[in-house]
Amino acid sequence: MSDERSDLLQGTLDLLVLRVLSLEPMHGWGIGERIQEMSGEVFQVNQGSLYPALQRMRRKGWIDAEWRRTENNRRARYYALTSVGERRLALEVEGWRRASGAVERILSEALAGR
Amino acid sequence: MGWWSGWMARVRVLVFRGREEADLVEEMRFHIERETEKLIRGGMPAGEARREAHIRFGGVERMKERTRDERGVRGVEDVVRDVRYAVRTLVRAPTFTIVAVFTLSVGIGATTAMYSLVAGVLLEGLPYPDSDRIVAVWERSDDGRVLHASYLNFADWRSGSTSLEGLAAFTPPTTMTLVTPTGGTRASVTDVSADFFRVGGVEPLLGRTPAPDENRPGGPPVALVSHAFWSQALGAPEDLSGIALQVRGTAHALIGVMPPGFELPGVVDIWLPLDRAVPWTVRANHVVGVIGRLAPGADPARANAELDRVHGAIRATSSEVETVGVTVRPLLDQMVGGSRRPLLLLLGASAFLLLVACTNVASTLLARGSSRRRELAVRAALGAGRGRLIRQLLLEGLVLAFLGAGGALILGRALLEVTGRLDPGAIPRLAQVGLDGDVLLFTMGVAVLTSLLFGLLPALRLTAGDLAEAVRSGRDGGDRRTRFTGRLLIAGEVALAVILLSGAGLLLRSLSAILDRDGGFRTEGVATGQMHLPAEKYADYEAGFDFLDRALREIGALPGVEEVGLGLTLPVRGSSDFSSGVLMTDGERTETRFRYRVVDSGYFRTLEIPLVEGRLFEPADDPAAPHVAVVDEAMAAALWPGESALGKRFNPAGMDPWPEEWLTVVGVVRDVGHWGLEPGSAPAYYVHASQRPAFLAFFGLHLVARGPDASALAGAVRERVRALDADVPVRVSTLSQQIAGSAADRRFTAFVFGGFALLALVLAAVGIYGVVAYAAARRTREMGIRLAIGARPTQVRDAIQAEALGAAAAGAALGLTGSLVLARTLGSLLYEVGPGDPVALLGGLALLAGAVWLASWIPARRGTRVDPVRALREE
Repeated sequence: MSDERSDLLQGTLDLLVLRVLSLEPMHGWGIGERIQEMSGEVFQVNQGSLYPALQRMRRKGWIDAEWRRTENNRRARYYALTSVGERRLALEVEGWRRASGAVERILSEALAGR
Repeated sequence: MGWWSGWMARVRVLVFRGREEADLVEEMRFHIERETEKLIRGGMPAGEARREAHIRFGGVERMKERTRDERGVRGVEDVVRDVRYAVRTLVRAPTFTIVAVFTLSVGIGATTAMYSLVAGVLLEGLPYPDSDRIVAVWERSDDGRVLHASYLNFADWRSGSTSLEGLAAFTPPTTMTLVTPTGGTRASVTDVSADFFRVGGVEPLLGRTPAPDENRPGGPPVALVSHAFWSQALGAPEDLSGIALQVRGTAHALIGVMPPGFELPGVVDIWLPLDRAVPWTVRANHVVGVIGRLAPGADPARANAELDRVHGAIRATSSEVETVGVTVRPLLDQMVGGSRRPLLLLLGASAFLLLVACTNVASTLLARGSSRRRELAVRAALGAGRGRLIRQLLLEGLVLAFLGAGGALILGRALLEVTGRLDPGAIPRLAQVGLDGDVLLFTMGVAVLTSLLFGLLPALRLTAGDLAEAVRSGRDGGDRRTRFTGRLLIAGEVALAVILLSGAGLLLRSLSAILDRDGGFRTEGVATGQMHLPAEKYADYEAGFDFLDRALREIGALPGVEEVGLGLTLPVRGSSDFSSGVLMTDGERTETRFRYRVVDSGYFRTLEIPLVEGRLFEPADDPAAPHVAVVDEAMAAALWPGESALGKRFNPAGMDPWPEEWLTVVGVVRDVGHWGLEPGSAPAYYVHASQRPAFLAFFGLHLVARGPDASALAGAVRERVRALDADVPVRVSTLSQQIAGSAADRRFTAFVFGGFALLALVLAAVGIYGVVAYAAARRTREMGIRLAIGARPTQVRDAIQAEALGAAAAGAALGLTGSLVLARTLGSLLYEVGPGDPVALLGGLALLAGAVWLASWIPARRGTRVDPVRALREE
């Protein structure tokens, strides 16, 4: 199963993280797990990319961070979507849909032309 | 607002860096823990789970780095880190750091002090509203000289000018005794005309200025006082009504107090109305100063042209007007114009000194840098680019420069204090000068520029080429180009020092030439006393002359006193001078102006002015006798060439209150040079004091006395006068001091320049010493080999020394050329000393040569005291 796990491009990672956080605030490990789970185990997030990405999105003001206690009473840093982040998510979703739609059309046409 | 919170995040990261790091570590630990747990839940044994979790996480350090990179504050963090590293490096080499910082403090401090002088004296506006609109107006004679205006001319200008919205006259301030409600005191008094305060544009702090109907002929006697006088002499009373000041025998009602800082026409205590009782009735009396305020839209040139026309019209209608026009100058220019060149020159000299300091530090950095090559090579190997290394070295330089700037501010402050105390008369408006915001900004800017100047060259040199290769082959520091750069820097330093030294030599020789000038009169042993007889006590001239006779007799009777005399003015600068054209017997008025001196016979004898023909004044020449004059040779030759002047008559054209009185020449004396002029270029005639008492009463006079010890005599004069009448203020001095005081600004320029030159010399010597010492230390192995194969120690030492001397000689040659250029620039500041003056140049060169030779000999000699065996073993 791990062989078919694909690598995520940076732009896509941003989109997925924002999407996950739009459901509920989450700590870093949880975000990675959620993406993996929601993608049906197709995507496994590389930690080496995740945390720098989270930092970058913080700097851009898309997400906020806050230290909270988990259910096991451990300290973890929770990230949450900001209003700017919400708008960004909408933009990214639209962009993704348009891009993937275009790719899909190309592929269908090529196949049809065969 | 996303970008705002983004920036807040950056700031937060910078400020709370420690906490951010800890947070990062904790976050990653949490992640790994959760992953471990997950793996354990999935069945993996604990130890293996933990290992696997770590592996899956990836490189922690690299992650941290990348996260940090994303924070967006990398640049700032790097700089902060470099600065801390720089500070550590400097602390590790305390001697170098202290010497370098001190050198920079001297250079930057000198520049800061000079800039603050320039800014405070030349650039800062006068403290009056729109002060650049205030102008000073003078009359102009046909030979181009400017003179005080005459009151009657001024009155006509006032009515005829449109480009000036206010024109006011004032008398030169005189110190006199007066009586206040709290007692007698001395104060500086001036008489000012109606528009005076309007021209100044400043409202009184208390009370009011004279109303239009008050400052007119026959108006009420009123007075305004300065803030200092009001608080110190009067006790700062809030209510001015009823307070009167007794000045010149009349009670003046106090009507106003001017705010502090109002120093027109100078530092004055009391302003009296001039138009009330004008003592001059003749146009040729040039005794008032005039200031005016330009109307909106006018400029000095236009005002000048307009007043020239008005003056021309007056000339056409009155034969008494002998001046041809006016000169209008901005007031600030008038006050400080003379200091402009010297101050700018000193600023330039300080910049040179700064360059020397920079060169010094640069060459030391370069020499020392050889030992840092290893460290730099390691850093380069670890991945630092050349740019990064250069940035680090420059940052070190910046730290040095800022430390130097701190020291500079302390030094600069001290220098200004010393200046103010030593030579208060040399620089006008010295009170304005201080280390304010502008100056601090300037200092910081200079520090940054300086760090670039001395840091760039060594930084480029040290990081050039393949560092690792250089270290491996052991040639670090011995690189030929580095050594060449080092020699270049020495040459540069020496050149700058030579220029400064030669300039100093020229200025000092000019100064001594001026002070030693023979003015045609004796200065040795002569004491002077300037005094003013209070008008209330000496209301009639008899009482005044009585007092003076007694004073002269008693002082003359003191042991050791050879001669005494009195005169209206002294032949030194600062003593006002009166002059006019004269009327000749055939009705013609002369073109030349002759100086007017009021003296007694004792004056000639005290100052040893020899009599050439005829006689000096005698007691018989009193007010009842025919009025007589003594002329000097130059005047005799000008008016009666080829014949004896004795018996000739002329009329001083209204210089005194007897316009119809003709003077008969009874004697001819040798020429005397008034300060700044050669004997003979200022022809003068002398009238007898007893025949011209008005002058003495109004303007004050000077007592002169000659004895073996001038300063002791000065003290004795003061005592005698005080004993005779304690109400007569007298200020004593010696004639030599007064003459030296006349040269105050020249002296200031010469001494400060000389100080800079000396500092440059010391810095250059220290720099050379350091460089040669480093060179010797580096080449220990080479010297060991030479000694081992039989060279004599002296040969080795000479070889090392020769390198430094060669560079110095090249620098000296360059400097000599530069000094010729400098001498030409100095131009008018030099007196009787030509640009190529050999004594000045040779003197400076000899001093420098000696210093350089010593500075290179000592370390070279030290270097040869090396045991060849040990040197060879050393690597």
